[in-house]
Amino acid sequence: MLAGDLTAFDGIVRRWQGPMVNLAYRFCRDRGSAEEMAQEAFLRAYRFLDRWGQDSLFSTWLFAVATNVYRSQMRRVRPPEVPLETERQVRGPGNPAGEVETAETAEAVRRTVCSLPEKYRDALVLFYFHDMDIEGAASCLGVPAGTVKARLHRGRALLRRRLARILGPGLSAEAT
Amino acid sequence: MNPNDIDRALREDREITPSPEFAGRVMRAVRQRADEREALAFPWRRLLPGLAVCALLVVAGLVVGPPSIDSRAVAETLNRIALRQSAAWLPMTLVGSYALVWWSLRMSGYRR
Repeated sequence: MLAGDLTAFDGIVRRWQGPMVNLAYRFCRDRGSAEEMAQEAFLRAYRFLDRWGQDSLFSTWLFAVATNVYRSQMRRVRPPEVPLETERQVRGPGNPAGEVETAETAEAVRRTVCSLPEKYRDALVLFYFHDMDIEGAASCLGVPAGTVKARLHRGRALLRRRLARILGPGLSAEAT
Repeated sequence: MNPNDIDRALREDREITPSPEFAGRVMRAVRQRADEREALAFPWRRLLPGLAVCALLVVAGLVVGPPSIDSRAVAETLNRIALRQSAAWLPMTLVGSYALVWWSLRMSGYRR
């Protein structure tokens, strides 16, 4: 339908640019890199548009293509670091552990997800990107829903352990 | 921070808006990619028969083993032929070179 039709593809880019850039951002936590990664994903989608079997939703196929691109690009770069200010702020005396969740701590959680081993990171990123839809995450990753569930479970456990190390022992009590 | 807080932090990730020139930049890259000619595929189909023959010869050589040749006698014979027919070597080399070039161009699909 669309292969080779640049006008139609322009419409696709305009319609899906937001979700594509946001998905990339959840992998790399950097706006500039997210746009570069999303551009690469659109180029890949254009190249392989004729492989989209119309039995699946276009968005499902597009996100699966994007996920593949983002995962391979993330293998080439270091994961984003958790900022030290977060650690200091959360551990500080005026900020009782476990009570106040600042925007910085939330960002620290997201960055910690990016530093997890690939299969757990991907499951967590895609699960939350798809509004906690396991099937959506599974179709992007090309694995069964049961596999995603198992990875989410292990990924969350690993995330809690890492957060306890980063944010301080006081915060780990509730997290475990 | 309990598991629910972690859940909320991940669920409520902030949305970013692509820069205004993003879509235009993507489409420029797509057009550029569309204008590029498809790279020539390597002519495996033409190469495979030759490779198969080479492989067969190597296998045959391994099975049969090296022939017992008196290398000095071969060298003397070749020398004699070369001296006797020295005039024939030049055209033979030229024809051989031409044949090699013609065959290489044919293999790469070159058309004038």
